[in-house]
Amino acid sequence: MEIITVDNFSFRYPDSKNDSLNNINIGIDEGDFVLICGKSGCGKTTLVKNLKPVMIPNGTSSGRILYRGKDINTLSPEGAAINIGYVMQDTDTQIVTDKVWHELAFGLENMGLGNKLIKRRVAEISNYFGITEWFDKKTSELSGGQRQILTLASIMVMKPEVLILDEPTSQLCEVAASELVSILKRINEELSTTIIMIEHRLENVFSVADKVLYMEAGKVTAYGATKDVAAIMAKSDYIDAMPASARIYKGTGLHGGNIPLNIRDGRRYVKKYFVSGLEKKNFDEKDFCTDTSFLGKILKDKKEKKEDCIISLSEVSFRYEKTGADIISNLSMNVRKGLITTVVGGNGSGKTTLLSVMAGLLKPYRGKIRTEGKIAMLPQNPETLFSRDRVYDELSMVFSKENDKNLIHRLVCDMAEKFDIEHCLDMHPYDMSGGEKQRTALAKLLLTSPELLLLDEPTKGFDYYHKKKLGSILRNLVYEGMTILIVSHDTEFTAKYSDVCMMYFNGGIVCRGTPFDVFKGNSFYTTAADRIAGDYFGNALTVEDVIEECLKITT
Amino acid sequence: MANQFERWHPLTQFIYFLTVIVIMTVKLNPLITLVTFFGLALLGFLIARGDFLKMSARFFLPASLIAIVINPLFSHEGATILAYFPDGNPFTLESVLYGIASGLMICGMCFLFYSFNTVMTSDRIMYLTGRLFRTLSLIISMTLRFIPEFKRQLDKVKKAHRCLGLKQSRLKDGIDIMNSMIMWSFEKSIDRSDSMRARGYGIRRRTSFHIFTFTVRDIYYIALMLIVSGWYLTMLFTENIYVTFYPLFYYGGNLILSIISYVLYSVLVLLPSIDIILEEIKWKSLQ
Repeated sequence: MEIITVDNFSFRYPDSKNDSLNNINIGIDEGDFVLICGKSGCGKTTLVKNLKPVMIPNGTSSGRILYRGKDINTLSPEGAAINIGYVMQDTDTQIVTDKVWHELAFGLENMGLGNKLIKRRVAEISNYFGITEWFDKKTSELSGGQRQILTLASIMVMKPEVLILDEPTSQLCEVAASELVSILKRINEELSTTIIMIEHRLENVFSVADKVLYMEAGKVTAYGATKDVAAIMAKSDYIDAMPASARIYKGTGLHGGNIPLNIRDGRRYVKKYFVSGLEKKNFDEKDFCTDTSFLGKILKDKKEKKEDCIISLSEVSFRYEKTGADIISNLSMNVRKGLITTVVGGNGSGKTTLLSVMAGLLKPYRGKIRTEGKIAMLPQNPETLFSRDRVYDELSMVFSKENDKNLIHRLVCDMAEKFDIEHCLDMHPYDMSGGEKQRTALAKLLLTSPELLLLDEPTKGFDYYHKKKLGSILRNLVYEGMTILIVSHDTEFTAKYSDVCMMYFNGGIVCRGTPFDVFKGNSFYTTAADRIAGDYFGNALTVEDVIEECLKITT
Repeated sequence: MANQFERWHPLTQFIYFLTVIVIMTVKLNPLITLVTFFGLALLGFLIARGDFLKMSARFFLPASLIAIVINPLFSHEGATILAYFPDGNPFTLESVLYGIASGLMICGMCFLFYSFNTVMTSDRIMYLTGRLFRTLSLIISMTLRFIPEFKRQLDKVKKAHRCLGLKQSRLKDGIDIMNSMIMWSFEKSIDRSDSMRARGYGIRRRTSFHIFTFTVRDIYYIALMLIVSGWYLTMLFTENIYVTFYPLFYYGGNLILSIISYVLYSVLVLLPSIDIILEEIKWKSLQ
């Protein structure tokens, strides 16, 4: 039986000229795991908001949305609150109370249930989600992953029939994200809760979803079983946002009927059609770390002149508390001028701390830092840089009032054009999309004319299209003479856009080289493309490299 | 680390603090203040050990010392004159005694609030207020959730702002930071209210959930505390316990009834400490 039926549904925001949703027709069966994907601005969020009565945005709609055959707006408020759970993007703001146990009980309190019943339900859900260990904790003390599990549990405690999630993994690290996806799978399989999830990190979720809804510009392009829709998506320009294996599949000419969606299948695909005869290459120590390019050679040259580096750290150590462990210990590193350097490393390894130390926000208790020129730092959350209610003022506030008004205007407009935020100049900073916010923050920083730009996880929570835009902006800046240092754990982005890569672990730099040097020696911490075909092709790191190598074999 | 007193039901804990503070302040009585002082010092030590001693040495004892010294300097009442100040005012025995008693009371009060602060955590206070005002307890909870979040964001904004390195006055910097925080707070509260409504807030009359259990022991303790305080107040108002400081320090009333009252009050003040100590002994014997 269909639990949700969207019947000829269209939706338009108040001051918009176009429909944000245009004639949507889909049916979701009970117990389905539906993945919704599409480029940002295609109406994904608008659609799922319309499925949850209290979240329906202002605007005019036509057509109907049925819940178990009845119009969704005729559901009783209690019925809507209990049966349709909604998890928003930002985990932080969804947590209402200060204690974990209170948060779990919040929805049930709203329903006016008695203490004994709430106690039982809360106990049940804590066991199911493994919350018992941190049941008495304060919500502010939880990690990002725990917070996301808590939000999920505090909705599941109401026993919803449908669970809607809007990009639930965007704020999470890789490990926590895949843990969340496996919990969702468990909920779907064990409790047969219908799950509707928007996601752009497709690597994990394709394998758990039953159905995929692919949207383009407010319309449903394809809806159906995962493999079928994935095949359709592969033919559209959304292919760039799909997992590496699918991109290799498309780039090499779509051999065979089945589109590979994870690394294992991608590997099988490459093996079957391209390297069946080839031997796996075993890299011994002499072989790896052999980037023979100009830059690779330079980086191996141990002696570095001071003039070539914009910032040099020598034996720097830092810790937050006197008795605590060192976050950074005896770290020495040089950042060369005019390049994009990326520090990669796992979550919680202290990369953000490293940036703060470099920016002079935290003082190391040991060691020396030599810097040249002005440093600007883009925080993970660009909203921390906003203090005006118009984007234009946001940018122009950088200049003191004595400057010529026309000059300021020109500088601001030039910068806005460069960062593709001209259309936002009259908007409130908070009304922009995530990518626009980040670009505005970046533009604001650049107006202070720094010489070194520090970026803290700039790709976190963003889809392929924004990453690509950001990557080309950064390359352009370097071309104009800027030096950029990124901390990230996005291996694909690093492999594609950075010149120098350093691996950070346990408070120090473990290795340094070109991305090729660093990743090629790794087998776990490397790009997906390298994991798919890296050991067959000696010099393939990105998807493009693998495709090229594959095509070389066939010709 | 939880101790036996912290495992009491919030209501029992609250009644303990309430009865002690009422008896201590209703009438300044040197014996009562002395008992309270030592009883609460013991309790404070049992609850927080080193931290309590540090706080006492740094703040509580100096504060009461000042009170002890100041009273005879400014109060010249009393009939027993010990000496004269240079300005001709009398230095009296009664004002010294009164100073000591009130100093000890101030110190006892500090001890009491120290223990209260440690034991009555936010969820306990919320539980107590929640019985009467349901929305208030939710507001307290949300505020307590918001404060650490706000602090964290403020820290981030300050750092981001410092990194921007604008050449402007500190006042202007402050205004910018405040602006940013206001914008952020508004935005977050809108999202938060969405999350609340999504979970059915405001549809029905809320209940407030708690995780505390009221045990038989709590009933005994509450009964004991109410009886003791009732007894003491009756004795006080029937003048079976009678104390005055001025003009002459005088201790009167019915001796036997007074002694019973003081013994009972000592039991009341020491109740949590006894509980903690007994529990510790029992725990050790069980190991």
